[in-house]
Amino acid sequence: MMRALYSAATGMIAQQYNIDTISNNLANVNTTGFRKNEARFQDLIYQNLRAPGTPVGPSVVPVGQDVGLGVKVGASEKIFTQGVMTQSSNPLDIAIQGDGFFQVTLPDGTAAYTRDGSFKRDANGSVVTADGYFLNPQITIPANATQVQVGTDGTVTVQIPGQQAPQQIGQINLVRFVNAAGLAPKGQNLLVQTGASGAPIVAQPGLNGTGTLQGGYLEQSNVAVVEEIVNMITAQRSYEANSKSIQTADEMLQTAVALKR
Amino acid sequence: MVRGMYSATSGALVAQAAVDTIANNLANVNTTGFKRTLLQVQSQPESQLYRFQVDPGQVNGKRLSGVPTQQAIGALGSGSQVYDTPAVYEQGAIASTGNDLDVALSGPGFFAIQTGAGQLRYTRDGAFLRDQNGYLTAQNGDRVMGTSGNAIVIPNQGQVQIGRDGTVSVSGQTIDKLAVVEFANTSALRPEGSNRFVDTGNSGAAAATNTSTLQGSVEKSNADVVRSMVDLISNERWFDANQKSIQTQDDAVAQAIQTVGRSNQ
Repeated sequence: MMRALYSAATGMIAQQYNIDTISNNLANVNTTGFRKNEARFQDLIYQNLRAPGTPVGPSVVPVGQDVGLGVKVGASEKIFTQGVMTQSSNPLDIAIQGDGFFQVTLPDGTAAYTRDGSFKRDANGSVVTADGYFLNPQITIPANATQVQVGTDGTVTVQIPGQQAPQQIGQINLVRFVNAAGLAPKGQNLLVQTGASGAPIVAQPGLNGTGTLQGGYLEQSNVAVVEEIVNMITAQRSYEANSKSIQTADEMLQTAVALKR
Repeated sequence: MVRGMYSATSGALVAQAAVDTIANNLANVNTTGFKRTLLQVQSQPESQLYRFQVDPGQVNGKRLSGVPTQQAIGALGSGSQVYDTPAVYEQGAIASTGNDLDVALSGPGFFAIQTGAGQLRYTRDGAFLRDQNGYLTAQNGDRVMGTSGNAIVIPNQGQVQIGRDGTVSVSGQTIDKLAVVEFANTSALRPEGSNRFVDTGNSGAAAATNTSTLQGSVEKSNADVVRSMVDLISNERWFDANQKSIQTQDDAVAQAIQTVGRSNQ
């Protein structure tokens, strides 16, 4: 049958994937610390009908004859631009200004990484994520402590009643990756290390290329609604255009079949 | 049988190839750095037609053996064929992404990249990444080459800055320069898929002089939806016209067989 049918089908599938990605971004427009994905496409292999340089008498064929066979999804890349900071009244809401991730420990003991700094206190005073995963290194706030403060360099200090000076009870470290786009999203605002991301590089906030911390702030999603809507429009129109290729190929085949009466 | 039928068939086949090409262009309307393909058509070689006749003569009522002669009638075309499928290297629209490792090319050049097998390829897709070893790579892991002749490695920390001339610097320190190549004869480039082009030789590759790099942007596909829609319509009609031509000739042959050839009734 005609190649056009299959090429156009790959185009429609690619645009479906594009819409899936855009929809997920829009669904997470209010998710703290969410990082948007972008679908990237590549052309498929070309069927080479005639190679350039083929001898034709005394001369050679100047250019080749290739038919492209459509498109594929090359990657779905996480884009790590800074999200907007919003103030919150909770001192354990921490935003990262710059590069880096918080490290949390999953129940199975493995590490996961997040930009979502909306931490809570559990029954024992330990600092945990909204899902109850411990921050690593673990920080426990004494029961009688007041006025929790997170410094830009990650030091966590509290005021203990009866004591003049604030007491340092822990240190929040940040983690960087050579290729943060290679981290695998796990849901729950968590990312995990893969072979492509490189090993985690732990550093005190502000050192080694990591960002600084802002206590009492939350970093919003970096999804820009206007951008996503524009992408959605182009994706839908591309989908429609590809459907026209299929329609044309179909009508041509119909015409070809109608040759025989 | 009837020559025209084969001519019309060749036309219909070319119309089909044209729709195949348009479909691929449309499928890649959102592919970064994609260059649309054009289908060029030429007429098939014409053949000279002659009338062969034998002129018998008569001398004194006696028939002589004839003298065969041939008389030129004219040329007859025999349809069309695909001549070439060159890529159109027109500049695509440049869209800003804000991503430090996205680089768009403005001008006729190409990025030089190295495949996993160590082969040199060219691409206009500047949506780069950094792999786990710090190499600057294309989306499928092909390494981006520098003018130093080595693949570019981005140090672990610092702000990546790419100048208009392709100079890559991190925190103010120059690392390397993106190898951007221009070709005197772009028709020697062949698309290979994965947004890559292969140099088939005689391309006149030289370091770019007329191309600038734009950090934080990507070059969109240059496939044109409006033009493609018009081409789809005209090629479909072209196909239909060839179909009518085949049908008409079929009718004529049918008439010849059924009516002219009707024997005693």
